Amino acid sequence: MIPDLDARLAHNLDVVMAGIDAPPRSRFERLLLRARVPEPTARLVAATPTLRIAWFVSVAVVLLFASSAGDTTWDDAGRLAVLLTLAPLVPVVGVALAYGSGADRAHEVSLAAPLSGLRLVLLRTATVLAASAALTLLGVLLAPSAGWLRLAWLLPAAATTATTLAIGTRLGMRTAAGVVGTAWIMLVVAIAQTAGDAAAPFRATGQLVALAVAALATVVLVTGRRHLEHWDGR
Amino acid sequence: MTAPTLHLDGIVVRLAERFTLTVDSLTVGPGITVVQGANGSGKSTLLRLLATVVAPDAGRITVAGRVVADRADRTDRADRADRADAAAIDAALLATRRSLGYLPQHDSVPPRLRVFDHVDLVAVMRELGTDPRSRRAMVHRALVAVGMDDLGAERCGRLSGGQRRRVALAAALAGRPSLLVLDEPDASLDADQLTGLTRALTERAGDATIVVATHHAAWSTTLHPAQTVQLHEGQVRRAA
Repeated sequence: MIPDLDARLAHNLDVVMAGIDAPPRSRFERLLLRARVPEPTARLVAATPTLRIAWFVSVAVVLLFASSAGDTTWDDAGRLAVLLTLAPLVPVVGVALAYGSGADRAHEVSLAAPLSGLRLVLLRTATVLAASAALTLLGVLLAPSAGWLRLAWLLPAAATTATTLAIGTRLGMRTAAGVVGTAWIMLVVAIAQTAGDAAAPFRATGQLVALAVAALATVVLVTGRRHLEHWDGR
Repeated sequence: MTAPTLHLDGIVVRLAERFTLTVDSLTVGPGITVVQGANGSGKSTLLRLLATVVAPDAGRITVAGRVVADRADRTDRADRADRADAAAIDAALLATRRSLGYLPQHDSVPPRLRVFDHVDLVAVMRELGTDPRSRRAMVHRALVAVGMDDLGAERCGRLSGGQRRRVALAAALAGRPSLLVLDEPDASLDADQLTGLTRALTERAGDATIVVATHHAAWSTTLHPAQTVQLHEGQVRRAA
């Protein structure tokens, strides 16, 4: 009995001392806990290393659009096309910077841990998406034309993000982001020039294609998750 | 948790055509195993292999009698029978990672996080503790073990190299894992800290399998290792 008692006392002392030693949780983490996010998940999300970078990139896009809004050399359709082209790239940059050895010093430690790699990627992606989407919406408010086209970046953003994740399971997130980003810009420019309409890639047909690509990439991501769960540290 | 025994058979790891690690046969049992060798001899590759971070291109690894990797593991075009094996390997890999504490060679401590938060974050990834309070108690105990408990609220970027190393070591030691893979844990430590590290490792050696890579031959003898593995140009020269 006495050794058991000693162990319990030692454990209780550790609990008390941990409460004293531990720094207070960040405002963001407290907000997540108040929103009933499970504590371990809140901890993982709050410590996403590149959340700040995602905010900076989003702010840059918003500022770029804000400055282009006052540029008289572009018409309204051209300015809207710039926003719609850039907005889906923001989460791609965020994803590239949210997972991998270049993004996180503790990446190798996370590989050796039992936590699912897919879960970590998706949690960090969701965090970066939420951060970037909030600020991209600001850019939308500055968009010169009204109507649904102002939100026409949402499905393309889902498609570019899901494709980056799907390719990233095999090539690494940074390479995947480079491939997807380049392909996206080339595709938008080619369609716009062929149609003679800067917003052509974002109209109904483009939205349907984006939805299909997002769905397909999600299937590829889920079926290829073994690459994230397994030994990818080289 | 009992200390696991690891077997490596016919292992080949190729790293971008510039380096190949070859291990014909190696058994790592309970107690401390020291891995030594010159720079570029393959110490870190061997430890990353044991920590389930790098996969073998060929060969088989078993931990506590369960296969965690073999050549078939790297092909996704498996038939139905192979998929059953893959499921068993997945389960064994997960079980191994649940019992593993890993210290990589490079600085693995993010500068923006606070000391306690980093060790706690790794503890979350390692699924330690049945609830947040017991997990945080384990984090506190690990920080005490490396003498960093009074710096829990400090940002890691403000610490010295030796202090950051001890924080990373605390993240590996937390929860008393039965398998510890430590790549140069003595790097950047002064004499007193080295003595503390020796004490912490030898105290754990009774109920854990500990693999330590080091350049520090004199220090490694103070660990009273059960086995010393010598690597030379990617090959195990001697395991005694």
